[in-house]
Amino acid sequence: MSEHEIALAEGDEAEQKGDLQTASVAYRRLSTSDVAGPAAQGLFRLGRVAWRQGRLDDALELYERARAAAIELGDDDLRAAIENGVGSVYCQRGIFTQARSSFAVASELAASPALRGRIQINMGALALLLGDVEEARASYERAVELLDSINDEEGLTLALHNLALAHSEEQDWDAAEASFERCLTIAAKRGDKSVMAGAMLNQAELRCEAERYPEALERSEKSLAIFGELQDESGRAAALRVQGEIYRKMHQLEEAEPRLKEAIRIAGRLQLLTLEAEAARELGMVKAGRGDVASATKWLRRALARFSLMSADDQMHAIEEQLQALKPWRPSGEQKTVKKG
Amino acid sequence: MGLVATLLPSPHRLNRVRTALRDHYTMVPCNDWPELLAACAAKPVTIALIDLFPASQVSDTFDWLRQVKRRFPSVTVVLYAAVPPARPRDLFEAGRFGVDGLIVADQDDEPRRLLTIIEQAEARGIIELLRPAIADVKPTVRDALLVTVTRAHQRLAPDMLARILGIRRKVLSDRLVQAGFPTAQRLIAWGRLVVAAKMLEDNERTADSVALALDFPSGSAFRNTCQRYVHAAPHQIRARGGAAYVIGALLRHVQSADGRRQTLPRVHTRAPRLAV
Repeated sequence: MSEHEIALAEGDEAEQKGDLQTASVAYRRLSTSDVAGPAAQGLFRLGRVAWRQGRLDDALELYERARAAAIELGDDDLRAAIENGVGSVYCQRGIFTQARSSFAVASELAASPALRGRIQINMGALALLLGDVEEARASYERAVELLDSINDEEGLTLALHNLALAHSEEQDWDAAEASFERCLTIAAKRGDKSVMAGAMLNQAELRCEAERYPEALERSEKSLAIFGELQDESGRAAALRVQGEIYRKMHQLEEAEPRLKEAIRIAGRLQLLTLEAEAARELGMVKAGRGDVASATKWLRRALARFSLMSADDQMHAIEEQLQALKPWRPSGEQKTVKKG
Repeated sequence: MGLVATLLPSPHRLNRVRTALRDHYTMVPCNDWPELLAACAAKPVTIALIDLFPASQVSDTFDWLRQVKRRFPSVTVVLYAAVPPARPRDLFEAGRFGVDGLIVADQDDEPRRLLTIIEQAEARGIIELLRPAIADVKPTVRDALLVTVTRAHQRLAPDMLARILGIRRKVLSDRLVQAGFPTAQRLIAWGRLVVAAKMLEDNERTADSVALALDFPSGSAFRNTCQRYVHAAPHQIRARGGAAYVIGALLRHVQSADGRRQTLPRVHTRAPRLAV
């Protein structure tokens, strides 16, 4: 094995294990190589690590440098991988027009099925974020087919996870369950705990929706345990939020309340706006269920403020209606009269 | 530079506060509770710094405190108390009234520490709301927006804003445009609207009193600005969540100018995963 191949293998192995520090060291070694090909690969992978760490500006800069090298080398597959990376950064930033054009370029240039499968996953994600569920599902199905044919388990877990989300949005619960189950089986085989915890939590939500509360609770407990093991606080908060909802629907309000408060505390600290808003709304409903109108109003208002910040009109209207419903009923004669003039 | 209304009978403590807040906040010293309430009503006061034991009885103090919290919930209340005469029970009681911060005399009133407590208490309010929403924005642009909010009561001009940020006006304009933000002039108006909306969250404030406090030429000028920027009347802004609603509108404006499309961020466990 050459020195370049060793660095690449070391980096890839560390990255797969989630040890991004070690991966960076190996890729940096590669990127400073005198040989153009491995150096370009090193730059691309450093960009990918930066993206995984949420350093999106750094990722874009590294991708730019890798792209220039790939063009000079005439390496279309590497260029396609880079364009796919650039599209993912834009997608994460919500700049969807640019994301779409990057994925289109990547799709034209990509030759390997593994890369074509990944591009399909991202095109599906883009469609799902833009609300085109049908298009998203079609992309994910293409991705599953491609990745299945080459037995690419890493890509397959992601494709199946996203396919299940698309099925959930279409309210095709059975198909969603089947995709999550298959995703879980492969993730368990690969030891990919992060995907497992996420999939289980989504299953818990599906089962809660189907009013299968004990099963939902069991799934969410497992998910919570794994997130705890991974020290993933945001995952824990999401799991606690789901548990709060399950307990509320089971009318065990005293169990729901502490979980939701903890979810809100973590979400506030980590600035997870959507999660904080959802948990606050749930807690408002728990308080209303306990007849504590003042607290219910307080939490629903907090949820309203958070959704308002995100301009989430549907959620805002729903909460406004809930707030309205909390107002004590008065006979029409006792309504406040509006002053004229 | 936010407005801090103080109710501190001790000249010694007032001077300590003045030293600590110099260049950071504008002070509005008040001599009694009615004056403090009037200051909150007439000016965009963000923080009320009060001595728990002025001349009146403690029970009176809590009655006044209750009034401040009820009439102006958007105002952050910080206690400045000496222990004794304040007892732990009094401080506990004050906590129940929703006091946001505590400065213990001769322990926490060294200038730097005092300033930190005030800033932390303020951060729990409007800035806390703003920060996560602009976490992804470049530092200069983020600072520009924060300055327009914290100095909303001053008549800021684009030149002054650039000077506060320590850059040339042209540089500021370029950076705002690159980030898809409004021009400096319009950003100042947005900052004023955010603070106005925060004030509107207090049910007792009328649109006219907010307009007056923030130095809008008239009530109708304020209403027109609301319509022009947020497409909503003051009462609608209040009903839709106040400051959070205006910040949401600003971000929507920024995202559409930036070619971004606003979708509701998903809880990350429900978000589709990307593959690179």
